[in-house]
Amino acid sequence: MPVTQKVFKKIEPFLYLIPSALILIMFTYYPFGKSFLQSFFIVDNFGKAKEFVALENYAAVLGNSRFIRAIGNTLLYVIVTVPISISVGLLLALLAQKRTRTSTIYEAMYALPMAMSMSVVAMIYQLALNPNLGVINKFFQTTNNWLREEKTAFLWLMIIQVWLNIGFDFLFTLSALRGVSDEVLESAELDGAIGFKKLTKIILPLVSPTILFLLVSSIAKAMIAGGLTMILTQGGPNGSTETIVSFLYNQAVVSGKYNTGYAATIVGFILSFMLVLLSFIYEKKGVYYD
Amino acid sequence: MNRKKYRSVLYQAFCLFVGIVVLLPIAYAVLISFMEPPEILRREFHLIPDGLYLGNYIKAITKTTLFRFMYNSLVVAGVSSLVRVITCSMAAFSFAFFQYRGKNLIFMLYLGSMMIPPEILILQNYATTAKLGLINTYPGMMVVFLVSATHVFILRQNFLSYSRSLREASAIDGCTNFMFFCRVLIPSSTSALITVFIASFVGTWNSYVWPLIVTNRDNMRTVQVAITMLNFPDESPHGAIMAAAVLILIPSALVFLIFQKKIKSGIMAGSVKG
Repeated sequence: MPVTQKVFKKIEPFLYLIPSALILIMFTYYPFGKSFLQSFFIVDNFGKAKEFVALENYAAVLGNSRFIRAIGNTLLYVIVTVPISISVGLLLALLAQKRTRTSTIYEAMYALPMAMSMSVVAMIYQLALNPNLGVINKFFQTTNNWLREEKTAFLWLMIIQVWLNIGFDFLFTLSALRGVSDEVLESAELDGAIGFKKLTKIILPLVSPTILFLLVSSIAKAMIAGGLTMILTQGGPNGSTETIVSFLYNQAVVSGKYNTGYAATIVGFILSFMLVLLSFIYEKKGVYYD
Repeated sequence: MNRKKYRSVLYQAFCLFVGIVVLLPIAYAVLISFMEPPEILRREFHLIPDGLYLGNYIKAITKTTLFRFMYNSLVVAGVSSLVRVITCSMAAFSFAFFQYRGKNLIFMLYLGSMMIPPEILILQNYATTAKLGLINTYPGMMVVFLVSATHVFILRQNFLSYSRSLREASAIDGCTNFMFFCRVLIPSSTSALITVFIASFVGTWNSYVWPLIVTNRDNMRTVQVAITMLNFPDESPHGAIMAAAVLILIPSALVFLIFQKKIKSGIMAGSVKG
C-alpha cells in the first residue's frame, strides 16, 4: 500500500468529524471556556481581558439583588412549571389512552401546543391579558393589569409556560401508557387494584422511566427559560419576572456589562447542571425498570 | 350493548371538549383576527365575530413585510436543518463504522455538549458572530443551529443497526468508504434523516432568542422575532397582530400535523430509555 493511502486510511474517520467538530468547538466549547476564563478578568468593550480580578465579578454579580432575584425566580419557575406540566400531560394521556373512533382527533388537539412558537403564543396572551381589551378581564369582570403587577406577572408567565409544555409531555406519557401491556393491567385488576390505587401502584411505576426523561429534559429547559420574560415584561415589574437568561440578555446585549455577564453565565451553568444532577437522583429512588 | 355505545360516545365527546379547552388560546387568536377594530374595543365580553371581516389579514399582509419575515425564517430553518443533517450524518458515520483511537473520548465530548445550554452562551457567541462579520446575515442566524449532539446520537444508533455484512460486501466490490456513505448508507436511511430534518426544522423555525440577538435590521428579522415588534401607526393594531399570529402558526401546525409520527419518533429516539 502506498504511503499516501496509508495516511489517508489513518485520518479518514476524522475527516467525517471535521464539520461538526468545528462548529461544536466554535459555538459550544470555545465560548464556554472563554466565558469561564474571562469571568475572572475585567473585560473591555472589545472583549479583551485587561486585568485579573479573581472572584470580584462573581462577588459583584452575586451581590446584585436583581441577579439573586433572577435565580430565585428561575428556581421557582422550575419547581412550579415542571411538575404541573408533566401532571397535566399525564392526565391528558390517561384520558386519551383508550383508542376510540375519534381518538386521533383529540390526540392531535392535546399535542398541538408543542408546535406553537413561544413568541406567537406570548403575543396572544399579551392581548388576552390586556387590562382594557383582554378576554381574561372581561370574562372575570376584573380590571387587573396582570403583566404590570408584581403579584400576578410571574404567575402568568408560568401559566403560559405550562400551556406551551403540555403537548410535549402528553405525547411522551401517552406512548408510555400505551406501552403498558394489557395483561399487566388485567392481572392487577384481578388482584384488586382499581382506580387511584391502580394508578399509583401499577401505572406510575411502569411509566416512571418516561417521567424521569421528561423531568430531566424539562428541568434543563426551564432553567434556561427567558423568552417570555423578554417579550412580555422585560424583567419587570421591579425584577419580579427576571430569569437567569433574561438577566444575561439585559446585562450584555442591552447594557453592555460583559464582566458580570460572564460570571452570571458560569453561575447559571453551575446551577442548571446541579439541578439536572439532582433529577438523576430521582432515578435511583423512584424509577423501576423491568 | 347500546348502553356501552352511549357511554363511549359521551366519553369521546368529553375528550373532544377537553381538546377545545386546551386549544382555547389559539381559538381566541383566530376569533379576534376576524373582528373589526370597534368590535375588539367593545367593553363587554364578546368572542364570536359579527361577520367574517378580512381587513386584519389584509392589513397584516400589506402593511408589514410578513412574507419577507416568513422567507427569512424559511431560509434559516431550511438551510440550517439541511446542513445539520449533513454534519450529523457524517459524524454519525464516523462513530458507527470506523474503529480508531480516541473514538470513545471524542464521542463523549460530543454528548457532553448537551450539558451546556446554548442560551447561556449567547454573550460569547454574539461576540464571535460579530467578529466574523455575520451580524444581520443568514449564516450568522444559522451558526448555532448547524450541529446537534442529540441528532448525531440518533443517527449513530440508526447506523449501528445497519447490517455489517452489507458494508463488507460493498467493500469487496471495491466501494470506498465515501462511496458507501453516499450511495448506500444515506439513501437507505432516509427515514431517520427526514426525522432529524423535521425535528430540527420545527425547533429552528420556532427559535426566538438567537435570531433576536444577531439581527437588528428589520428586513433580516425572522417571523418569531418580528411578530413581537409589529406596529401599525394610527390604528388599533390588535386585530392585525392576531391575524399575523394565525398566519405564522399555520405552517408549523401543518408541518406538525402531517409529520406528527416522524416528529414523535425523532424526539423519542433522543431519549435513551422510555
